Amino acid sequence: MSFAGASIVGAAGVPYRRRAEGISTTTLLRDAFVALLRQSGLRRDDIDGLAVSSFTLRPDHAIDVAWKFGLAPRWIMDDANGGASGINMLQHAMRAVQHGDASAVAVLSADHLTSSDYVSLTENYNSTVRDHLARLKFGGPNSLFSILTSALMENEGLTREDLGQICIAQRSWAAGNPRAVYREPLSLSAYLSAKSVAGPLGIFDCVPIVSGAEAVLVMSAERATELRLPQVKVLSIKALHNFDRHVGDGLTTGLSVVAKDLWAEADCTPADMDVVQCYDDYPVMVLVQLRDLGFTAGMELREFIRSRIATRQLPVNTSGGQLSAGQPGAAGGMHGLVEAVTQLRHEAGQRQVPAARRALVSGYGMMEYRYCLCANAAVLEIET
Amino acid sequence: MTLDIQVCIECGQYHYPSVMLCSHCGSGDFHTARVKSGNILARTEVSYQAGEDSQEPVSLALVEIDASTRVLARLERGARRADAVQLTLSGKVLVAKAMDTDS
Repeated sequence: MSFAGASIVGAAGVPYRRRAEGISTTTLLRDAFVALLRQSGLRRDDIDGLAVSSFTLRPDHAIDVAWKFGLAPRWIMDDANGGASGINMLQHAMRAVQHGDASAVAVLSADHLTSSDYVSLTENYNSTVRDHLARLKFGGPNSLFSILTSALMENEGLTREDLGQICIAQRSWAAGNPRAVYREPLSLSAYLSAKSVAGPLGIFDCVPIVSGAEAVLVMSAERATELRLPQVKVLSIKALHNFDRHVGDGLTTGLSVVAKDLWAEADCTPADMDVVQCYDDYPVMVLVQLRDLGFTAGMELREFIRSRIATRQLPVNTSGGQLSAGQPGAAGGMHGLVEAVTQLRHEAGQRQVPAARRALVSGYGMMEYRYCLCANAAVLEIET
Repeated sequence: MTLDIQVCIECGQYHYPSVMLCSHCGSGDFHTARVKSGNILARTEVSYQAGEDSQEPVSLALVEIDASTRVLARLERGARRADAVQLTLSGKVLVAKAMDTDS
């Protein structure tokens, strides 16, 4: 169903930082919110809807954030869906604005994870992780994704060099992103000789944990037109979570089922996308999402990596992705969305993809027992 | 201790970890089946644990116990090259041992 009547009119974030001190999740949320207001020229009291996602906000919720910001929202939402949270909040916020429950929704996410917060999060992610994985000393999601990576490599005849091309290409995009924590070029030899984390994954296959925040503003199209704000339209959003009831191999997501509807509703094909932002917790999942969404159509994955990703002909994760920019906890779920909107607004500076008009953003997350359950995707287009 | 797995009374689907309603048919009626062994589908060695400076790598295996049920287990040293392993619970930790090891 169309999202006509609502638009994305802002996207902002705070620079990512490793081992940051003197900040909190709430200060990060505030900084992203203030940046969003500044970008759009809106006043605080113009915002009447608030969605928040964070792993470390507890015991606070969106309403406590509203109080700390002095907001009186007509619509609030707490999201807890990790790598799928950005598109999930967008989906709900667009409907809320489209149907008049709110007229301007700030969609925010942030996390400031200390190293003990991170350990606690990975061991208590949900009851399955706490009761069945933490006891194995599974080392967090790295071990699960090492198994998925090995399986995809074996099935598709991929080598570590092939996977490395994804990390290297993203690192070269990161060079143009001042918010990224790792911006220096990554060589193939450095990638291949990197310390092993959980074979075949080395440190460059794993996201660096950072403190950071992301924000998006959803507004009624009518009001955005009056205010002459640039509008990014949402052509379609589709989600399918736990699509295989967790009995599969983890190398397909719900996107494989909803891709057809996603493209049909957007009246676009993968070839129409100027930029692609997909959730990159590990390079294997970049390939899985792109394949599920139809970007690899008919091409061997190895050839796809070499001809499309390594050459940057298909601009994938143009911020550097979380592999290079950093993984800000739940805010990682908005990372690709904010980058996509930034590209479509032509505000991406040195990494700007020329004439970018349309973007695909995909989300993936919520580790259960062997892989993650949530998957969603959005097709965006700048109004010209 | 042996491993008891949740089995749907209606359709026979195995679940590990246990669920509230059968993932296959939706039934809420289960019994348990004792599972003693399985086949290794994949293995990995975890050499980094967040928050810990140095330690012994942990070997893990993905073990198939039936066509739609795969469990993650700590792989004992003696079973590192095995294809079939014995599954036991050591405390609450699921362990994959070599087949000839006494439980």
